[in-house]
Amino acid sequence: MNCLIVDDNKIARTTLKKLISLDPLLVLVAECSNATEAYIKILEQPIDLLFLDIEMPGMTGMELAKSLGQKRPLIIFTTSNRDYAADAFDLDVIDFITKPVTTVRFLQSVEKAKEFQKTKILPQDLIEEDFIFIRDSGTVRRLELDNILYLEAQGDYVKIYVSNRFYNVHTTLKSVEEKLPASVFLRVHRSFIINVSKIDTLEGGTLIINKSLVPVSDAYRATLNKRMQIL
Amino acid sequence: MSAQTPYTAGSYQLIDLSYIEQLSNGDKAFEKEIVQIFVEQIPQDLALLKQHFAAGDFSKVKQSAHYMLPSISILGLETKLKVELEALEALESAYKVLKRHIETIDKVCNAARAEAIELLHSYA
Repeated sequence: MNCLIVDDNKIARTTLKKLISLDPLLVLVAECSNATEAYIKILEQPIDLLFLDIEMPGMTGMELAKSLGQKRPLIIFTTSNRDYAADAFDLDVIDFITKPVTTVRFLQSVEKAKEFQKTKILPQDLIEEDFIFIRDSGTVRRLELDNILYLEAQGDYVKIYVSNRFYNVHTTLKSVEEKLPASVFLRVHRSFIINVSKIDTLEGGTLIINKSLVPVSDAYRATLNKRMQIL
Repeated sequence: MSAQTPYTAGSYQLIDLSYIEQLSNGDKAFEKEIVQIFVEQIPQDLALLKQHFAAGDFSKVKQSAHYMLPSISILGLETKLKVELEALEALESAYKVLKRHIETIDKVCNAARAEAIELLHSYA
């Protein structure tokens, strides 16, 4: 995997370089001390994995992540400030690790990135469908996205709620989330994803969708409010 | 805390090499490189922090304190300066308190730098 380090602090870059050298599958292509330099590097050559600091003078790590579009590599945020965790995960990054980065934590993150890369669908292969197939008690069933109200993680299963029933699918919420169009579905809680167009009401930390209560956790509230474009 | 203390490897009053040693896995060249960067970088970082504080530019004080965090934590100084660094990130304390925090950071980092220089001499 081609890697790029983006951090304005030389000590932080040097420790990351050392950590990258521990894994023979990681190839350090370059290190950048600011996000603009990194942006140019990413446009110039294929980068698979970005170790990205958040707070940097000029363009921040968050802004860089948002600006890359289809050229965006997998991202592991590295920061000294835990306060960014919720915002960082909203950007669909692989991981968020705090400095100083320990060897164990680094290797865990890299494993996640490798796993993700194995299953990654390239952007050009993505065809926006309006349905998904699920395995329901031995039957493969087609579900129209527009009929899905919300999804709830429960243990090793995800319950997919449609108008008058739910389907129990043996999977994780994260892997279903990756298959659903982000333009329609939104994570509102560690255990819930909703179809935004199905919201009836929002009061405090609770949504009502088709007479069911769906909790909204603090970490996702700002994103939800933004998406709902409340007048 | 005095810079006159006779040093022997592994017996420092301020710097704590546990993280660097865990990362280096015996690679002394790497350890030396990190310590060298710290010795070179910390005076500039402190100068900027004090300069921004003197100019009353508190958003830059916050930025400078944040920028110093990796160097401080990698050399094991974070626990010694936790209160001061958190106060500078939050910027909720009185001016006098912040000023005292900056003086403490300056004092601890300079003493740690003196230890780091001694440590550099111990590397072959």
